[in-house]
Amino acid sequence: MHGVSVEPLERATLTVGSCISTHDIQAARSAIPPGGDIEAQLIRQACEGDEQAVRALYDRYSPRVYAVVRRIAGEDDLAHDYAQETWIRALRALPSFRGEARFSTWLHRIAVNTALQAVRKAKTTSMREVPLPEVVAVGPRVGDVLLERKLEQALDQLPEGMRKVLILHDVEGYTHEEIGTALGVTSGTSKSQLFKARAKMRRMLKGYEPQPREVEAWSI
Amino acid sequence: MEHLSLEQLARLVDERPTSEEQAILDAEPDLRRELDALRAQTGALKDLPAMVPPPDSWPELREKLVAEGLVRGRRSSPALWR
Repeated sequence: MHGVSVEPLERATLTVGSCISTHDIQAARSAIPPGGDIEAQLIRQACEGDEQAVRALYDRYSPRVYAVVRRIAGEDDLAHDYAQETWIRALRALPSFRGEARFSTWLHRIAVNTALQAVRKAKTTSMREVPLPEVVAVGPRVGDVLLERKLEQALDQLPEGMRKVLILHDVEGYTHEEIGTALGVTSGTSKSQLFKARAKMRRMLKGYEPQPREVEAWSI
Repeated sequence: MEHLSLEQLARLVDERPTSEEQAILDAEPDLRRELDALRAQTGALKDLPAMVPPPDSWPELREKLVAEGLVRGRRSSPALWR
């Protein structure tokens, strides 16, 4: 589960509606060690309705929650609703959190389940009129902002079923068995959808492989 | 791409090719490059970053949490961890 173990603030590239400064992120990161005593204390306080504790947990984990629900939802407005619902569900369930899994893992599962249930309920099969990605460099350096945008755009273009499987498997690190359970399909169906999704993404992004660095004639 | 479809190549991102598939890959540099591109694409997806939610998310959520009785409504003060 590569996706679950990643600390959200380590990867908090501000891509949507960013309002948190680097300083704030650094402060939050340094102040709440994941899974540590301070986090455990915050969880206890949050159970009692302590706003500061809830806010501290929110500040730390909301980028991760938002990312996963946004990718499953495929659009911003729905993602906003799903993220809010995730936090409400999480706080309702917080008294039952026993610390057997990391809080981030537990919360992530709630986010995925919330988004999947909401998507299923909404049956949002709307045709998106987002222009197809024009440029992407497949296989770039990590942190390539343009590539990230192109990948996100291409994800949004995928049919819902393929998108959910691709996100759960290739972004979030779920196994086909886990995906099958979450989506109510067989692991074989999950695999089939994954391969179709990868191929479709590749077609959307095709022709934009990284070009070898050009050597200027005068520099030779 | 005469012998292996893009979907078949997508499967080979994380599954071992059969001996027949491997023979095709060995004979077709274009297919190998395509498989490499699919692997790179998959790797790039794993590295997608988190996303900061819109700025009005917390006030709206806070209001809902207070209404649900999940958070005690009180004036915010500087957080302890800041």
